[in-house]
Amino acid sequence: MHALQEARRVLAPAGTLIDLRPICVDAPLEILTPQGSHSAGLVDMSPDIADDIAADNTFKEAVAAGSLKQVKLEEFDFAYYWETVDGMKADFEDRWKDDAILPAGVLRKARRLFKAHGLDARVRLRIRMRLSAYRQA
Amino acid sequence: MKPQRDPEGAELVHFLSACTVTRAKVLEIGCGNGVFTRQYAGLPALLVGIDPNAAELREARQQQPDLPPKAHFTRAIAEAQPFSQGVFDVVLFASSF
Repeated sequence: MHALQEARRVLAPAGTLIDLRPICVDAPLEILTPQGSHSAGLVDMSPDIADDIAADNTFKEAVAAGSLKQVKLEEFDFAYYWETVDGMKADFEDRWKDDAILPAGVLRKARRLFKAHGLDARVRLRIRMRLSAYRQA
Repeated sequence: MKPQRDPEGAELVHFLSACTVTRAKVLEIGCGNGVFTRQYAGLPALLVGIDPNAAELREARQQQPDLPPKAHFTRAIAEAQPFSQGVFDVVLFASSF
């Protein structure tokens, strides 16, 4: 059974189903310092785009069929922070390799900026999130 | 190195503005290590987080003493959930659909 069908099965009549996930748009990578933020470039978040489109289509079909009614749609920024660029790179290799591509040039620039700003610097990745809320028909 | 995740609390603010979880029965699909689950665990009457990843769930359960007894973690996949029909007021796909 499909995940959405199964979610609808366990959801009460008139219950609320929330779909909360990152959008596959490039995400700014920044070095933060007490003086402000410095852009290192964009992280490619496109590897998941086929799954993202498929998920969107599944919800659209459920709405078109009258099984769900969309009651809310909004987007917002969601940030991850690392203490070092090396820590971020290790985390990418460990957990993000299927979801995002960290271009070599962006990594180089991040290292350069981080080195220039010393101990007060942190690394921030800002991901765009989408929240969709649906009411069970 | 694990990152600091959403310290601004944007995810929680938007989630809570989209549905009523206080005293509700909530299912979180794709709860992972429970990092988001713990942020609102005190609100629902019942909260169940499911995830297929045993290592992530182990980490979630290690934090269990911090959670109210009405919060549970269960290993399951989204396509085959071990729950009766219509039991949850809110179902959340947490970056998992």
